[in-house]
Amino acid sequence: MEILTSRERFNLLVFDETPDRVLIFPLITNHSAYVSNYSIKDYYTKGEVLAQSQINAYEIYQIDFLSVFSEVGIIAEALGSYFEYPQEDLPKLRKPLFSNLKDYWERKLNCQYDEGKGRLYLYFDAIKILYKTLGDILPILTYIPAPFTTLALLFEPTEILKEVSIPNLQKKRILKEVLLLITDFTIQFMKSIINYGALPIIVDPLASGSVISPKTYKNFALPYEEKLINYLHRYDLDVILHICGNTQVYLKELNKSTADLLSLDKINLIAGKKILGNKFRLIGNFDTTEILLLSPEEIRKKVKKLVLKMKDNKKGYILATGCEVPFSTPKENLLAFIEEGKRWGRYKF
Amino acid sequence: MRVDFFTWNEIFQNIPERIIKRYKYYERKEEWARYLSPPQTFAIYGMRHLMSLKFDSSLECLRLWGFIFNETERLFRAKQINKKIIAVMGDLGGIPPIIYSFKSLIGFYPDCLWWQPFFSENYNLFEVTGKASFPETSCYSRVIYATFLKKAYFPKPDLIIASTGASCDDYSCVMQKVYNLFYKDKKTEFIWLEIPPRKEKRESAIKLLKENYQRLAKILSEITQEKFTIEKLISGIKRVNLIRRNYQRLKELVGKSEIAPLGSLEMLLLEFGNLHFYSDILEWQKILLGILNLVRKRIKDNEGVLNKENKKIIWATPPADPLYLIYFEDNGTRIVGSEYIIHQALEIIPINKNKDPFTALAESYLSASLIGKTKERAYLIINEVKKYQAKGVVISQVFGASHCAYETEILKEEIEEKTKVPVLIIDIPLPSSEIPLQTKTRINAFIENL
Repeated sequence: MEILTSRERFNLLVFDETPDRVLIFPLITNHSAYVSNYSIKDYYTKGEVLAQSQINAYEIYQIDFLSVFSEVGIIAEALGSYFEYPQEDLPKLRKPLFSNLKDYWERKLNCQYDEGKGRLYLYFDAIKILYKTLGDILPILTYIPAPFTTLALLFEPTEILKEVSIPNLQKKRILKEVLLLITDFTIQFMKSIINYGALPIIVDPLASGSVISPKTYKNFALPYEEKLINYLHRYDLDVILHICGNTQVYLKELNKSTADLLSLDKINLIAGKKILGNKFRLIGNFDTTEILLLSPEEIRKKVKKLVLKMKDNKKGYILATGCEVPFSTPKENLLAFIEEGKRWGRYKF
Repeated sequence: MRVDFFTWNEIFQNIPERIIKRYKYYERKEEWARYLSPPQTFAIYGMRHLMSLKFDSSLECLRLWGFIFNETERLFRAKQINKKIIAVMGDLGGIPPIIYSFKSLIGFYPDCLWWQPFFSENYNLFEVTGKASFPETSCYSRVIYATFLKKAYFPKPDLIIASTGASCDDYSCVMQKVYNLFYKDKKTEFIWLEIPPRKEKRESAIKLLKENYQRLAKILSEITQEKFTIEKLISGIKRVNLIRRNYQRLKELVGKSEIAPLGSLEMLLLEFGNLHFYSDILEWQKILLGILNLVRKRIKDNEGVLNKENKKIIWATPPADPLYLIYFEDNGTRIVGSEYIIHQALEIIPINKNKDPFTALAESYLSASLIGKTKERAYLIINEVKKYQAKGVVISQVFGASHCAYETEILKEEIEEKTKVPVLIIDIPLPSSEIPLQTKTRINAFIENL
């Protein structure tokens, strides 16, 4: 039996102390429904199912964090975009609220915050159960889509990505107006999350280097991520920023972030440590395709290599998958990942 | 005004950034030294009980709460900036004036971590302690052993001081176990100081304490490589006396006021601040002064935090679970006085030109709650009843804890006989988010009879 609870371990990390071992954080989201035999639709629409799935995942895997996350459209949906929930598939954006910027200009956006909007209840219901059940020993991370990602899901995604890549002055102004409205709504959402006892983790998958350029990131994503981070810093919370996909192209921009922990996906994290490691506690970044497809033995070898190279990161390190664990990942793969992480991640304590 | 957890979040939204960033511990400038956070921050890091409590809505008290809950981080930061950490166990008030005579020392009481399982509504520390063979029916302070094992609640101390003699029996077991833990590790110094069990033989008791204190000053001087002087000790005592004096003023103002200018939970936290100033004496001094001024203003403005009709009571022995204090206040009482077993930390240390400061320290320490006969402790409570014209007394205890088993009934008999007010004895059970219904019924019946 380990001497520290995950909470105690995480606290030591954020106090800049070395815990007993590296914290383990495979981003287990809908995979928890898979191991619990719940339908995906129920997981995405019922807070108690999401919570119970996470509890089951904890019991199976003994991970260090609980994750409250459905998909990145939760705020866009609360603001009026329409999503569909297939019984056994991920939610799909069926009809964004606006077709383009002109449409927005004509109809405007109702940003009045209300906890009853859309599926926000899903998060609140899940957090309440998790906090009561395991909140004393495990940090509860709740994934909050950053404004740029929400923007991309309020409009026809292809249209809006075109608009942000070559905006004229007027469009730039309109885009910033929408982003500010989304930011305000997102802050209210975070305030509710905080009230229920969970730590918001900011995710900005559509601001990935695989989707937008460094310039677009600098103009339309980073400033609004920063507003969220500033809000969380008012509380003196330790802010985790997760960006999916390839961020290699704008590592220098990322270094300007004021987040405390960076969770990165498809970059060379060992090389990234040199640029980011003095400033951020790094989280990452086992390849999610590999966790799905490799054998447990192959996973063990790769985890060992990653942990041994990363565990000495100056500001600390959390072993994680680069992004969400794929839905149907074999249990034994994930168990191999976690066991090996715990084995090689030990510190002198 | 007293507000619930959720209302505090609303109030916090209106606090300007510059104020949030103003308050820092150890007079440091770094961001990590900030501590003005609302209860939400600490709830997110596991302090689940905060969601059930009520808080004073003033900025002064937000500062108090933030400072107290930040203490674990503060101790780790202290070590990171090369301060020496001194863990003081079981003494409850005599040693900090000596510690704070040295610039680079931070003293703290692991004893206060007995609140940890209650604030987090968590059994883990009890489980760890249970595996180390501590019996279930002993004082909750047994969890302190687990905090030493875990190394996650404070950094490794540079010195551990434990008290023997007139110290709680259960806590003596904890200290012995901790000693065994560190005995193998020769890198951490561990010393025992002896507390005289009786004060009838005053001269010999003072002599014993004085010798202990002198020995400690010598050891601390070696640890810090800092020369110890009597002047430094006097200056340390003056600092501590300033805090004790301000707390005494505060307690009198709150207890004697027609209204309740401050809630009992904040008062309990303030009283325990006299022990070790939550590991930053300078900042604690400012926080205490801020609250003293707040209370003065509230009395002047006739602004109370409870109903004026609430009945005055005295509380003896600190409740392990703070929820009980809130429940009493919500149901028609007001706690105007207390005897939380740390009387030695509240008395002014009588220094003067003609007295050796070690003697003054020893004399002051003889007022300790657990030195001497139980009747003497009863006398402290009776005094509080008379002074604040209380209508009843509550004694909270831990089932099976040695000093409770020994003295609670004697206290009850003595108080009832001398004051004619009713005394309620309640056991505080293990951490929970609610008070058991049966206990609530007993409390309600007691309040009805006041």
